[in-house]
Amino acid sequence: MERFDWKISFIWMALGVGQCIESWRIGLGSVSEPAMGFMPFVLGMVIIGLSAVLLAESSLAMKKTSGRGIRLWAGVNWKGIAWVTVLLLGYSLFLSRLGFLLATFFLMVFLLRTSGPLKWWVTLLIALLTSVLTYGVFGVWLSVPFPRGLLSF
Amino acid sequence: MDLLSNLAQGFQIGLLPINLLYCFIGVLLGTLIGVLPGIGPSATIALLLPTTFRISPVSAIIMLAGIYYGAQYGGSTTSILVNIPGEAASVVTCLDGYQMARKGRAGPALGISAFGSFIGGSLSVVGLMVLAVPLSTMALQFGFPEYFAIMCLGLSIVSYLGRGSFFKSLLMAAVGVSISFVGMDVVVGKPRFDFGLMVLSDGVGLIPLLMGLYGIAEVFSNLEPKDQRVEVFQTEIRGLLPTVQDWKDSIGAILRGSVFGFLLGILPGGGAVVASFLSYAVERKISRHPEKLGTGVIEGVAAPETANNSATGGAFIPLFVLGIPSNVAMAMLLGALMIHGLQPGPLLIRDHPEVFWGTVASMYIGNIMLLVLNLPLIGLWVKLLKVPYKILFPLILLFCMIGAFSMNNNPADMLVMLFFGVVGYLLRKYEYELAPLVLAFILGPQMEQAFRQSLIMSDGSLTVFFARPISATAMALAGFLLISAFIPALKRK
Repeated sequence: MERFDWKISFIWMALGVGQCIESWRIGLGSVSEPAMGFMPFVLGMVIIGLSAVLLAESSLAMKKTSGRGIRLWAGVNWKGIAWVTVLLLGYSLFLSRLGFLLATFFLMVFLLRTSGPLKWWVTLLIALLTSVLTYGVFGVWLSVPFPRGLLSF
Repeated sequence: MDLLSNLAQGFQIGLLPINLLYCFIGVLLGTLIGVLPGIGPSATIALLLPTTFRISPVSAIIMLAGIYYGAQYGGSTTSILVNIPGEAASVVTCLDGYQMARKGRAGPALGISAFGSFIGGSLSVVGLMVLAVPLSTMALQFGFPEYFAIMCLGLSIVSYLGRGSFFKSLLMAAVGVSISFVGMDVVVGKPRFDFGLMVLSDGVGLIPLLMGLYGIAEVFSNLEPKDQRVEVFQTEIRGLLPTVQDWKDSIGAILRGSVFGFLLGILPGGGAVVASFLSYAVERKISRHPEKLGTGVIEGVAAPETANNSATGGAFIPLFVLGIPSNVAMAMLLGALMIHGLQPGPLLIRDHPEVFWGTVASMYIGNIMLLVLNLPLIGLWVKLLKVPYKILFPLILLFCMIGAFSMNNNPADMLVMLFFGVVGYLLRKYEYELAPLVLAFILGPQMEQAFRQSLIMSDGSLTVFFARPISATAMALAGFLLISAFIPALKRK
């Protein structure tokens, strides 16, 4: 079954138009002396052209099957993705304040609880081992300067 | 003599204890992720790229290359025992490999797969060694128009050989080049498309983009409910060493697979997947009993497994000779070289012979390590198939976060990666290929520079791309691919 993603073609087209406008604004130069907006402008036009082809393809496919097809957002695991995204977003925002060890420990606890049924002690043990081992490998061995945060080391 | 003395120098580098260690880590991880369905070599290289920042460039490339060719070895294990390919390049191995396992011949199937991989992998390194130096000398004659034309052709082939719509792939390539415009302009050094955001002022980082598109997006895809339970075929794995008859049946397939694999590996977008399918198709075509292929015959395992390993050696040629990657994994190796301040291309072999020859020698060593890892340790790899994904995925996400952070020690890079993770997931969901986007993103700055310089030197004449034979041929082939993709679309109307 074909997926009718004509709405996405509009998004690409809008992005292509935006790219062309911004390229124009920063300066196209000329063909013999192209400025920094020249190639982005050309690529913007290519994106508009290709999205028009895709739009035509999906419109034709829609007509052939009288509009029956998979809806654009059908089957997306929004809940799982949203929750994991929020967790990772929180990790990015709190890493500096909490420090690597604490932030990583909490991230792992939440992710492991999200992933399925695991005993609490197993969750805590994996989270603890992961945060300590990754700190050892990346922070100590590979000298990545992780934020120290609350624990001060 | 030069060849042998260079190779000897390469072995001096490859046999250093630290490089042996990184080679071992690379092939071990490659086998591991090859065995585990759901995470591929591209995602693993992306995940481990940041760990190489603080090691020498030779060690870094040795390890990352080991992951790439090691994954091709490991991919066959799941194809044969579980009927689920560990890698895309092992899909076709399922056809005869699983049938052999069902007939109680899992041992010879795994054995010939490992030996075929070893022979194909080793022969392709010989090809790489022999061809790379003369080709790089020839590539020194290339000017900006040739480079631009070859890059256009490369992206067109990658888009053409993609699994889905050619136009979607081509659109991804255009988007990839466009993302590379963010940050400083390559010629005048002024900022553009950064929307005033500090995190974008130096452009979109390679690591956040790769980890987002391949690491995070892969995890998001695997979070989808799937009705797929992994059950290892319950059979005793015995007789890993193929019999004389097995060798007689498969040696032709192994040699043909080596040649096809190597040549297809050189082509942009060709690589291991196409090589494995094509070599299987050739075996079916020339076989005296084609009806038996697919029912569990040993040449049906030997041909694709040899070809997909042989392709890995071929894939290094465009990277080392032209600085143009032929697939995503090579694009990541290109990124790794650039992160270490090396510019891949014809001058790399001349100016940094230790990187090229050290990598070549390590590939010989790595192939031997893989043979040892894959035969006696097969039981261990089978057990690994039982590691639950619910434990793996939090670890993958954590490595992605650490990797993005460690690039500039800036949490904002994690946000950029997260953005590309969500975008990558949606693109996969709607059947857009990510490979053209990544290749185009990496080639973008070189493409723009070649395009602008070509126009400047020709005083704005587009005929500059058709004036010399190599650029004219490459542009004509790219145009041919574009037209041949349009014709079926027009016919459908």
